[in-house]
Amino acid sequence: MALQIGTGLSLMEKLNILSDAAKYDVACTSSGSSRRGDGTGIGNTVSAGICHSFASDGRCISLLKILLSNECVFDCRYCVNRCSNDTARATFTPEEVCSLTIEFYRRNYIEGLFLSSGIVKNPTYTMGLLYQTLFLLRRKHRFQGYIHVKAIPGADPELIRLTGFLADRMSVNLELPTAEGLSRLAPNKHRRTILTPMRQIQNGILSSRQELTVYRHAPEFVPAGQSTQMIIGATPEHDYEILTVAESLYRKFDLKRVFYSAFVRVNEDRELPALPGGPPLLREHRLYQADWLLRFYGFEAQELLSRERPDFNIFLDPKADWALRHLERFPVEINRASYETLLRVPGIGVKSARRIVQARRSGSLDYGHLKKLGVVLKRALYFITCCGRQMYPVRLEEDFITRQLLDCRERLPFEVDGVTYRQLSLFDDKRFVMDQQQMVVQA
Amino acid sequence: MVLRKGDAVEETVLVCEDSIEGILTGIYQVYAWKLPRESVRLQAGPAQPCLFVRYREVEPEPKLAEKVMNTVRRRFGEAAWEEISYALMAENDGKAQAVYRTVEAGLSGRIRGPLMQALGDPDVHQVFLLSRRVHNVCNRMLQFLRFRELEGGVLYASVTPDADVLALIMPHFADRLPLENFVIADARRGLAGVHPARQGWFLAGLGHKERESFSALEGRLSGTEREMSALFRSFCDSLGIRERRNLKLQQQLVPLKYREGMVEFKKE
Repeated sequence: MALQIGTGLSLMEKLNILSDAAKYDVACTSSGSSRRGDGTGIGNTVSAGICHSFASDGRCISLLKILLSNECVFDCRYCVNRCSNDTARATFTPEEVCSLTIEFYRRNYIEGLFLSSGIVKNPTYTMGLLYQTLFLLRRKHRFQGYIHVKAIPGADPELIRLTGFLADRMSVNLELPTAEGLSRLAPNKHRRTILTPMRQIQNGILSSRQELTVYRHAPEFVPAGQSTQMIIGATPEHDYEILTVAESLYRKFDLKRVFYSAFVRVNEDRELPALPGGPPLLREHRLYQADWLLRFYGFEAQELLSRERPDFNIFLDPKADWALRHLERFPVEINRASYETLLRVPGIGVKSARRIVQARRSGSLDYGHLKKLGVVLKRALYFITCCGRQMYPVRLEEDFITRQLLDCRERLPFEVDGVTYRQLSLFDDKRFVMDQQQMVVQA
Repeated sequence: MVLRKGDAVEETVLVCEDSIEGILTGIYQVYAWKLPRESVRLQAGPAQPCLFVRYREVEPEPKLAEKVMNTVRRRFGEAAWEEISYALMAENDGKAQAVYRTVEAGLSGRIRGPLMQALGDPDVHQVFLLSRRVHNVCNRMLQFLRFRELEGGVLYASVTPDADVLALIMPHFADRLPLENFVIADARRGLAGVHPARQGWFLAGLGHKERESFSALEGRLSGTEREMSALFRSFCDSLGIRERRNLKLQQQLVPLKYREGMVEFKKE
């Protein structure tokens, strides 16, 4: 074979090259699948997922995230592994991937395998290699842990179907939010070839679920659902467009997750934007916050953003931003408001809203209770009343509340939270503190 | 003991053994001995002696404990029992009292409806906090525990958890690694969870001698162990994106106290 360039590499070198090549992929969750071991092999899965470590950038390491090969024939401009780049190339054999996975797994280093690949020769050939690896791992090594595998766009649908029965989660990367951006930066990829396998997996999951209700031991097809990811900031789309795309993916394709990845400039290319301030991390963060609002809080993309206001406020989170623009709906009464209304209050999350609804059955709640239930009062207090009272008199004015929310320190007037005492300290003396500061300055 | 009018009202403290059985027996005895339910206190483990307090030792009795457990299960449901049993495994001085007051509030009818959802009640809230803490310790163990392979293929892990969670994490690993011989040693409490391949797991108390021989095990690693830990270390290193470096976030997610046994944070 002509493509076997990196045959003389050690396992360590291969792992370094191929994990380095996979690190820009964001999905590393091991959730959504709950399976007990059958006692004949190794592994089980936990529905909440388990993160086993965290890398130096604070992202979790849950799965052995590697490419099977980075010998890619495609030339996507944003990607390190594009064929026109001069980087070290390597390919794992399926047996090497299996033994690494098993050895790491039994030491509790990882929760399973995340397998992706550059396009070797053509999509169908690559998908065949992925299938082969998974088959070996599941059948020969009897591995029952978590497996997340990429479906390669353009591969034979039959191979994708077969792979789906071996994996827990599959994902097809959308790469860029719009078809226009895709054709500019990834000339070998097309929107249609990406959406086709996505639809196929969606239908597969649906029919597998129906089959499982009739036959309990029918094989499960992608039980943890499918996900996708988009690169943020490589093309000039607004947040509004990105969020609308995500919303339609959730609705029309039943995706479990859409991941956003702040663009990191790894290649010098005139088509790519220069990012002097580093990757747009805050923007990515706001998009994730909005994503949660879509999935768990009953918000719609139209409510959060519009064509006139296409980007998120950098300073405020999307929910507080929404609340400030809809002050006519506030304040809400904690002891009466519906669960859905409570969810829309800044400072109240899914868990605390549920706890409020449960706890108020056995008696009315006051601010002390709310604090215990986990409500973030420094944000919520402007938007709620307890038994008809505000925590302390505040004006329901957009400017005033914005100013208060931006001031990150919690500035409650003394005594309002029910604590009427203070710890005395030797260092309360102002002069003493001043002296200390001077000493520090002199030192 | 029956309190008559005119008796000096002094506080009674029941000193129970610091175990699920011990504390549940204590709760049973409050009712059996007809102690004043409002003022009696329960203490797990040795108590700090106070004036004007009468201490009574409670011997743990499995049968009585089981009765209390069954009552809790029947009256408040399986989920409430799970939360209470987790709280009983916490490392906390007030846990016996909080659990007793919670169960008492439920039985006397002071709290109606689902017991553990009445978070407005201070005792229920305390039990909730304790059980959440134990759950968190448990989850951290599942995340950050690392096995090392010894000569002969036995997997060995040494942990120092903040709560007595060995019995809670063993089923997870036994289900996960049914064909492995593995041992998880709780160095802090002198306990070990042992799982022989293809068999059920069990807990074993460690004597002084066994503890020493356990600590010597670390030196007898198998041949591939060093290679695998080096592979994983370099994997973790290469996975971090330089442009996004954020050590503070990393430390928030993996606190330093858990890093001792984790191979990726060791320099070798």
